[in-house]
Amino acid sequence: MNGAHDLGGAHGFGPVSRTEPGTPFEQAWEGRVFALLVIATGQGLTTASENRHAVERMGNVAYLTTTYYEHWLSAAETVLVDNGVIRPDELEHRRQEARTGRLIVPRSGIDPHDPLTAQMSEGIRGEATARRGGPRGRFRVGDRVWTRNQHPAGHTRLPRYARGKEAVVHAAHGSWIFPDAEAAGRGDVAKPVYTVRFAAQELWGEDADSGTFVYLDVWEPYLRASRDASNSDDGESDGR
Amino acid sequence: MAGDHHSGSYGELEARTLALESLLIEKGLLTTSAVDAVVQAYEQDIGPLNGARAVAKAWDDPDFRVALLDDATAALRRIGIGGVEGDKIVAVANSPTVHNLVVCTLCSCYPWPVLGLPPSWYKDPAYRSRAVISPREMLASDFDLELGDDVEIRVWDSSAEIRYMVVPQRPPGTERLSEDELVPLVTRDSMIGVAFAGGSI
Repeated sequence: MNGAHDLGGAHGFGPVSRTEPGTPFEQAWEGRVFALLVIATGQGLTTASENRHAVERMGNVAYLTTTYYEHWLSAAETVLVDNGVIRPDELEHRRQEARTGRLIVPRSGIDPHDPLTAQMSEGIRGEATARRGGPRGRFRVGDRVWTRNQHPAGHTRLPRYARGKEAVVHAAHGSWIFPDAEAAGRGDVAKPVYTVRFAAQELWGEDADSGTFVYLDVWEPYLRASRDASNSDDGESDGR
Repeated sequence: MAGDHHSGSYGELEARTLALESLLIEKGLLTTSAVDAVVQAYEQDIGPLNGARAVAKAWDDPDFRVALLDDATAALRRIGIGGVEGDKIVAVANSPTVHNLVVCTLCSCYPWPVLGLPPSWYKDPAYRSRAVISPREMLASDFDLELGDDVEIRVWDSSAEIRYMVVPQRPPGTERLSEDELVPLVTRDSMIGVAFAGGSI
């Protein structure tokens, strides 16, 4: 979706502010939100694409005026309700209770014998999950390709700055879960992924630096062999 | 819906978090132990020291450098580095004529197993917007990193599940240092591409 999160090339956000807290989580709740969403995803209650799409759907003004972990909190609430893990009424009721200060969640440290703890401790250090086998993709390293001029209302990982542009295939990475489908609940769809290289002048015009290149990772449905090729010309279905 | 809530005071955000934890625990889907273990892993264990070890080894051992640049995921596994957000890691090497920079314009994708969790500026709009459109100017004005016009800049936008780490150039005058002595020179910022190695961050 063409949301506020799609920031590449935007002007007006000022210089990069280098001040940073000394720890990943400034407030304790931030670490707990991070952890619970990582755990929920590891348990299959949600997926990475659904999490990202939930952040994208929180509203553009809200997105730009809340903190990073507020995005995560909003996403966690959204996906857990959307996926039927939590009911909206029980969530609201529990929040009310929490606001009164009467809700206690006892914490007794890290228990290595707790199965979920053991599973997560290993899981965050473990092997890949998003990569899939499958047939070789259509494109080869060195091929000239065009990204589609697409503006889906749902989740996609082709940023606006890179749509309808010419690139060269830099690398092929095999097939990976297709986020446009995974965010819509179809995490069984996998497509070949490529790194493609754009000249800065292709993206930003002839005034751009000739010595700068942008590399972007794209799924095959985002690409066409030539600028004017359509779905039928390519003989390829997007699998959406 | 979640969107009904205004950006909150600390108390409101804490309350919303507590409510989620409480419900998930009640449903047998979460334990505070697991939450605390994940937090501790990223606060204490998983951080840029991992990447620094890999880069120092690549500087010291030409065979490892080749392996790291050819298949970083496998090379890192051999020295005990890997995990979530590291399904496939690609190492890109800086040289006198090529400078690499990593960003995630759409969110905050970052090579957790080698660098830990990203700094706040990496996740914020200023960096995400500027890195792809004016990297040379941004590096000069916001990171005090001047790159001559003869240096090609490659910006890697981490839009899929491949995660990127930069192998910075080995600082001059370090030829006699051992691998262990090289590790502290490899800063987090040098592995993102916003600094040369040998700095303080």
